[in-house]
Amino acid sequence: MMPAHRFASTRLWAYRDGTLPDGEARHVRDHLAGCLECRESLAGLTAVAMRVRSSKPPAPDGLAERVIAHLDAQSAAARLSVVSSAADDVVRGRRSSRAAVARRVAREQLTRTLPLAFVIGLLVTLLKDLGALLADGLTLQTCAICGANFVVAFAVLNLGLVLAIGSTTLTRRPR
Amino acid sequence: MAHSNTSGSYRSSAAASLHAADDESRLVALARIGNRAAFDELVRRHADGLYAVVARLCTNAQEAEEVTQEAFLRAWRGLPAFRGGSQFFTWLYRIGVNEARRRSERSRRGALVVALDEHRAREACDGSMLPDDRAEQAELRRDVDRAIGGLPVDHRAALVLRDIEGLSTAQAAAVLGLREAACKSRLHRARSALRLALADHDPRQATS
Repeated sequence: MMPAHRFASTRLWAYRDGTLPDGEARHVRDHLAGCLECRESLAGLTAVAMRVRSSKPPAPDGLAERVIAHLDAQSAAARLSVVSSAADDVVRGRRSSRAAVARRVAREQLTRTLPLAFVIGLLVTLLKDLGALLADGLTLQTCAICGANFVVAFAVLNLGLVLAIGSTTLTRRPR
Repeated sequence: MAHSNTSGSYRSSAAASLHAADDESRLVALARIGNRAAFDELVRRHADGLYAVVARLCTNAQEAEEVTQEAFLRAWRGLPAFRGGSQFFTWLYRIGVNEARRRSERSRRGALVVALDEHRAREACDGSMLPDDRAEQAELRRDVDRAIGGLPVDHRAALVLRDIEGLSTAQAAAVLGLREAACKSRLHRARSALRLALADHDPRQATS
């Protein structure tokens, strides 16, 4: 006698995949033996599965060797990048240490030349402009004279030092 | 006698597959500590399989090859972190599928049929078939390609892994990072859509 129902396609797929529990698989198998409709349905599923399976795209020739060559190239690039970044670090380190040295020299130069320029400016004022200072007292003009003496002394001192440092750097042997 | 022969060949093939698995885990262990020769052997074993999976998820043959290369490169770099909780190839396929998905999200699908035509052009050189059979076969394959290409990427991936690559549902679920039930559900939807799409080639499929 032909059974009155059909299996749901999920159950038939599971039967075809072999993922049904034993008891259930036996039940489906028994049913299929007497049900043409379900057998045709299963044949339809099998046909789809076969078509899908046979549609596997072929891999291009020499794929594995190209993958290996790509890995080689990437490893070489990574090594190169490590070396180049290390070199960059060294150059950056040198640049930063040069900048730090320059900043330290400038700071030292300023702290040493400022009091010296003050003393020289004061001496020049005493020697050159003492008369005017005593005669006029502490006016705007005498203050400007003292300030000018100080600024000139400071500028001359620093210019001399910069020239001295520059000539030392130029004559130093490059590393 | 026939039974003992079958049993003997079964035993020898089971032993061979155990040996292969053992051999593969040795290769993976060597590759994990930086042995490139061992990893190259893994590439030779799995490149074609991985390509077959990602080719269905990419827009063209060139992209599929790039994804294959990228997956192996990531696998090589990530191998020290591979715990061996899953099989090497399911881990590798997962990397490949994720990379293909990432690119697919970027470019969206559309050129898949064109892509597979490139593969089919290579197959067309097969001279063992009669011209009529070849044409019929080509048409059927084009329809299958189009039907698969029309599926959402996630459904397509489940179908490719299970029905084309022949992975078990558990392995396909592991590759896709899904529970088995979710993987089965996607697979069923993909299969149902394919049955409808290919009904012209076999009218009984549409009715059941």
